[in-house]
Amino acid sequence: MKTRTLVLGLGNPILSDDRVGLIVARLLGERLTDVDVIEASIAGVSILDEIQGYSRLVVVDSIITGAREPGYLHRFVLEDLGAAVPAVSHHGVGLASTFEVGKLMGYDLPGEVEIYAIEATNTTEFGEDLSKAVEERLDDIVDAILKASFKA
Amino acid sequence: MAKRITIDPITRLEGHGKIEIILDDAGNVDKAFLQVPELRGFEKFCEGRMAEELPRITPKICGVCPTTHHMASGKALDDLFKVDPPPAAKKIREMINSAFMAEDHTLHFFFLGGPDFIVGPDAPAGSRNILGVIEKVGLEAGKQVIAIRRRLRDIITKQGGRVIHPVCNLPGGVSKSVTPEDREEYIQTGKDAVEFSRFALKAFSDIVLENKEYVDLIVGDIYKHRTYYMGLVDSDNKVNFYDGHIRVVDPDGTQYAKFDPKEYLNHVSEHVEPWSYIKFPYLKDVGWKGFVDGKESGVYRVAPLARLNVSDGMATPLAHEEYERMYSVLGGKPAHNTLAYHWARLIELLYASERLLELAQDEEILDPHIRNIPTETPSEGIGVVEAPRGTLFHHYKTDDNGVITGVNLIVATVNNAAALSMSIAKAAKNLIRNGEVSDGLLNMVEMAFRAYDPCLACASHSLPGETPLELTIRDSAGGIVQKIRS
Repeated sequence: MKTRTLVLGLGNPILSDDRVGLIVARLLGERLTDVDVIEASIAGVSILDEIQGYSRLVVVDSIITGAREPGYLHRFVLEDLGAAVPAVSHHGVGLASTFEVGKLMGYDLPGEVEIYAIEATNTTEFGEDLSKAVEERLDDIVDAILKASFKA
Repeated sequence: MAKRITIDPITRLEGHGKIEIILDDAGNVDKAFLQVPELRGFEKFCEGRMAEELPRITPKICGVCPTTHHMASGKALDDLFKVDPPPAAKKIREMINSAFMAEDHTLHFFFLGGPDFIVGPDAPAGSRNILGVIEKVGLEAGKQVIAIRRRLRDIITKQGGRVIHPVCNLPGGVSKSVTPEDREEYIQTGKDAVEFSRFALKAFSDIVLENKEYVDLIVGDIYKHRTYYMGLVDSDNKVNFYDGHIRVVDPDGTQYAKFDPKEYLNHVSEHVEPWSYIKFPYLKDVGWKGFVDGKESGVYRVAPLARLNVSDGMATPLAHEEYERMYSVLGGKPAHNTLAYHWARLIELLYASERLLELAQDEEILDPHIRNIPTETPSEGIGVVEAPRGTLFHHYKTDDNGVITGVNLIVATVNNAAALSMSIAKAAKNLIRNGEVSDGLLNMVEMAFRAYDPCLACASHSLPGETPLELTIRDSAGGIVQKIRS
C-alpha cells in the first residue's frame, strides 16, 4: 500500500477566482518533495478515479461563503461535510457521497482527508486572472497550508 | 400582493440553481422560475483568440459535458473553414461522442434519477441517493456501474487525447487515428456497455414498471406537459447525437419543421423575463404565449424524451425494441410525461452503446486518413450536436485570419428552461394551497428537476459539496414564514 500524499487542486482555470485551487496546488508542489500533485477540473465521481491508492489526500479549492474576506483560508476534514443527500446535479454528488460510494466498492481510499477552501470573490466571470484580493494572499495561503499540514 | 417562495440550494458554492415559486393573492401557485448563476463575459474572453482554440476552451465551460462542447466546437470549425472531414474522422468523433453519452446517461440514472425510482419517491431523503440505489440493486450491480463508466471514459481519454478533456478535434478532422489494439478494447467496451444497458433497462422494468404506484406517477397529470419537441435526426429520421437535421414536432406529434442546424436562428427566438437574465428559447413562428402548454405556445423541449418523440425510431435494433415498448406502455407518441425522461434516457444509453460498438467494428474507423486540410478563408461557422441534456449550439464569427470576433452558444439545458419552470410550477400547484405548504413539496419539485437533468451553468468546480435544496417561504414583506430543507 502506498503511504503517499496527494495534493488535489480543483477548479476551473477560466473562471477567474475559481482557478485558485489549481494555482495553490501547483505552488505547494513546488515547495514539497515526496507528494503527488494533480490539478483537475472535475467533480463528483470522477474524483474517485484520481485518489485511489493514496494514504492521505489534501484537496484545495475555492469557496464563496460570503462570511469571510476574500483570500481567507477555510479548513475542513471529510467528516465536516456531512452525509450524502439527494443530489440534483452532477456537482451535487459531493465528496462525502463519493467517499461513501468508493468505500462501499472496496476502493483503496485515503484515510486522512483535509480540504482547504479559499474564499473567492468572483467565480462567475470568464477570465484567467485572479481577483486582486485573492492574488495578494497566495503566499500566505501556501505558507499556512505547509505549516498546518506538512510541518514545513 | 404576490408571495414568493424560494427554494435556495444550501451550498458553499456561488449559488447553483435557485427556484422561486410565486403565489397569487389566494396563496396558490401562480408561477415558478428556475434561476441559474450567470456566467459572464464568455464572448469577451474569446474575442481576439484564434478560432482553433475554441475546442480547447469551450469544454472548460462545463466540467460535466466537456466532450459535447468539444464536438460542437469541432463541427463549428469545420463550417468556419468550409472543410468537410473525411469519413474516418467523423466516425471517430461520433464514437467518442457515443462513449460520452453512454457514460453520462449511466451516471445520471444511477446517481441522480435512479434514486427517485429505484429507492422510491417516498423513501427518507437520507437513502434517496446512490447508496440507496446500490442497496436496492446490489453491490455487484453497483460495481458494474462504476466499472463501465470508467471504461467508457477510457475510450474518451485514449482517443480524445487527454486525461480530462478531449483535445482531438481540428478543423477538418481529428488528430489521432484508431490503432488496431485500441480498437479491440473499444469493441469489448462497446459489447459490455450494451449488456450493461440491457441490465439497466431490466432493472427499470422490474423495479419501476412492475410497481403500479410508480407507473401512476409517470403517466399521471402532475408531471405532464403538452409541448413541442426538438432534436437531431439522421436521414432516416432516427435519433443521432452527432449529426443530421433538426426536427421539431408539435404536441400531436406531427412534424412542424425540419431544417439544417445552420438555420437554427431562423426558427428559434429568445424570450426574456424581467425578473431574470435567463433567456427562454421558443419557436419563433409559433410565438411566445407565456409559460403554457399547447400547440399555440412556442415552448419546446429537448433531451432524451424529446429526441425520441421527434424521431421515427432508434437506429439500432435493441434500442428500437425498447423504444417501441416505451411508447406502447405510455399510450402512443409523442409522450408528454416528464418522468418518462428517465426511461428515454436508458433507451438512449442502449442506443449509444450499440452505436459505439457499431462504429468501433466498422473497418473504416481504422483508416489513417483522418483530416482534410482547410484551404478556404474563414468567416462564420455553426456546429450543433445533441448533448445529454439537449441540443447544443456553437456559433463563431471571425475575421479573414480566423481570429474570433464573435461567439454565441446556446447550451442544452437553456432550451428546456421554460418547460422546467412549468414543470416545477405544476408539481408545486398540488402541494401549495391557500398559502399552506404540504410536506413532500420539496421532493416533488426535486423529482421534476432531476428528470430534466439540468446542467446549471456548471459554473465552477468549487469544493464538490452536497447540494441540498432549501425551500424558503416568505410573506410579502420578505419575512420568513417557514423553511423546509432537504
